[in-house]
Amino acid sequence: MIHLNSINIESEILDINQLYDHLVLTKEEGMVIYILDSRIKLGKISKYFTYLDIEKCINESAKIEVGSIPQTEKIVRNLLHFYIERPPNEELKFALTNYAKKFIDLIHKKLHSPLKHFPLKKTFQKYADFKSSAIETIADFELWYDLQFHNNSKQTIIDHLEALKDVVNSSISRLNDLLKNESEDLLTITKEFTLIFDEIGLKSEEIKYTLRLGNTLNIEIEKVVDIFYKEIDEFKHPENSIEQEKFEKLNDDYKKALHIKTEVIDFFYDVDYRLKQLMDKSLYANSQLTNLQNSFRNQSRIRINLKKLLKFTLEQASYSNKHIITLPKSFPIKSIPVERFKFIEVPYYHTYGIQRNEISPAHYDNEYARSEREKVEKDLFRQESAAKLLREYKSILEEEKELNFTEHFYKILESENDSEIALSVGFDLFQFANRNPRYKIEITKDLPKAYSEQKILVWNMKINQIP
Amino acid sequence: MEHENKPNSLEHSFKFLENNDVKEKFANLNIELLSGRHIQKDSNYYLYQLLKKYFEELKYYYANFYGLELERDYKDDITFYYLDFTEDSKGALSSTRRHKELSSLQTVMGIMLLNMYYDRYFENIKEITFQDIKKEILSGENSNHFKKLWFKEIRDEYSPNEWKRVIINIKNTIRDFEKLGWVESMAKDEGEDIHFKLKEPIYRFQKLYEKEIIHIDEFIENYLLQTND
Repeated sequence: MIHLNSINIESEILDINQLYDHLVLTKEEGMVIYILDSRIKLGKISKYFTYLDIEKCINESAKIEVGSIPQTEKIVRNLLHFYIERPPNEELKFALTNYAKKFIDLIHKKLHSPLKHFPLKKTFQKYADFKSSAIETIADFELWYDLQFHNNSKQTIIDHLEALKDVVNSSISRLNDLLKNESEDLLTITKEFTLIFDEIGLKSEEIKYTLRLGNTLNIEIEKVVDIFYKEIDEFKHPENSIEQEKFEKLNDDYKKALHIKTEVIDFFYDVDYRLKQLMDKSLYANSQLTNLQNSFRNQSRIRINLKKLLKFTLEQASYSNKHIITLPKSFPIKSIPVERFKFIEVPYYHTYGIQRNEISPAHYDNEYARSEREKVEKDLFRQESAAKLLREYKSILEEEKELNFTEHFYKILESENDSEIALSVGFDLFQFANRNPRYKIEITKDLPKAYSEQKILVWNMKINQIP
Repeated sequence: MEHENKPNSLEHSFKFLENNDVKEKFANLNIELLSGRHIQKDSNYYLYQLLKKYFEELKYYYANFYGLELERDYKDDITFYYLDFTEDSKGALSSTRRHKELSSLQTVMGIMLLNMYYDRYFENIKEITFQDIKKEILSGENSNHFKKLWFKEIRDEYSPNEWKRVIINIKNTIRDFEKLGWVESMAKDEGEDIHFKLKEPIYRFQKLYEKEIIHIDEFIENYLLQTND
């Protein structure tokens, strides 16, 4: 399924790539469509228009922007793909397609959002009126999320926010443009924009109010999530496949509820953040406007003079291969204090030049050699003694049929004066008896009183031959 | 100068250097200021606080030891500090290694960016992208001049290689201006397109050319008279 979807998406990308120039118009083509539609609405041309009508609209559009007049033939050819069509029975004429009308509608809505003057508070209040008690199953909750929240409330807030963003951005850009015009009357500008900023303030208040409503909505959603969690919590440990299945279903429901909660919370955070950005923008513009009131004449003069300075500097400067731009020596160049601080660390070398590697002759350590030799000899002697004793004990065991090793352990210890030998003999002997089915090992975990004074204490250990 | 006639209070005037907050940050502040940096609250909070708290003391310090003016200036409700030469001397930084003449490119870019600052007068973040600069060069009010300067000849389009040279030079100038605190880069990755915001201290550039700006017609007239002689 996933594979099929990705194939579909890939082929759609290819389609769009191929049709893009016909689906999305160039500025010249888009303007022609817009002018055609407005002339039809005004009744100046018929809804079935002619080639000549299109040509007139092209000329009209070309008057707005200076440049060469585009070819009518080329524009008509491209528009015929999706934007204009031949009406039935009027094959020499053209009509706007539904796609073209939707395109005009989309632009119109973006420029004149109906939500700009629509009370958000009222619309949202209805959707925020959500009670956790209305939710019984996860399907109810999902339905509320999809129909009420995701496709309605959320969309309404986004649309309002977008409308507010457009108002803020277009106001700021108009203000910036006005500052460039020397002749504008400041009083009119200020009055006009004070009204706009008041409106922005009101709108943002309204959005803030919906954010507060969002808080109560979050509380109700939290309650719903708690209900689903409680169901898992109270469910006993599943013991058979039916119970396991039910448990997994509850778990799944809880995860879905949690996902809805995260989506809603994230959305409100996002709105909060975007609103703050817009408010910062509009507050700044407003305060700049206030600053300007006191110094408009001065600012405006500086603005004009700065433009003159730029133009004059550009006229004086010339292209340079080496420095990209050069100004004549007589041009006033300014200085600023610049003291660069840099600590240059030079690595320290003990000696300079290449150092030869010398071979140092190995030194023979007599003392060390002797002690190592003694160690090896002692080890060898120990192994010899242990092997000899093991042979002796094996034959004792064979003759006497039983052996109390505890007694012999201390005997060896006394005669050899080396615990390593006694332990080694014991270990090997018991391993031998253990592997041999003719012998039985008997170990009791008590310490014989006779040897309680010894430094090493061993349990009673006997080996018996099985008769 | 305010403290000029108080030689007896010299010791007292530098007592502030013993305060812990000064001891902790002074080296940084000194290096930044002498490097030509303009310091404002949102880009260097601690140094700004130090300048705000000890402005008079620091002003005296730089006047006394360096022969420089510590200036406090304002633009669009933002305060910033920087070191400047006095009217008639470059003080301890008079050696050519210790001060810098703005290059021709920096001068042209400075005037251009200052104009762009005013174009965005009502925007709280005065953001500039490569597209903005490209538009200025290709279709702005001074497009023909810019084209002649950057590309030697006026055409509708230029090759990527021709643009590359321009971009490298603009990037270098932006980097120099960022060190001064006039702009702040918004292109965080190396190799990313030109993207930065203009900061209020770019107003310093206007101050540098204040006389020429206020009396622009007179300046142009005199300049042309001199060069024609």
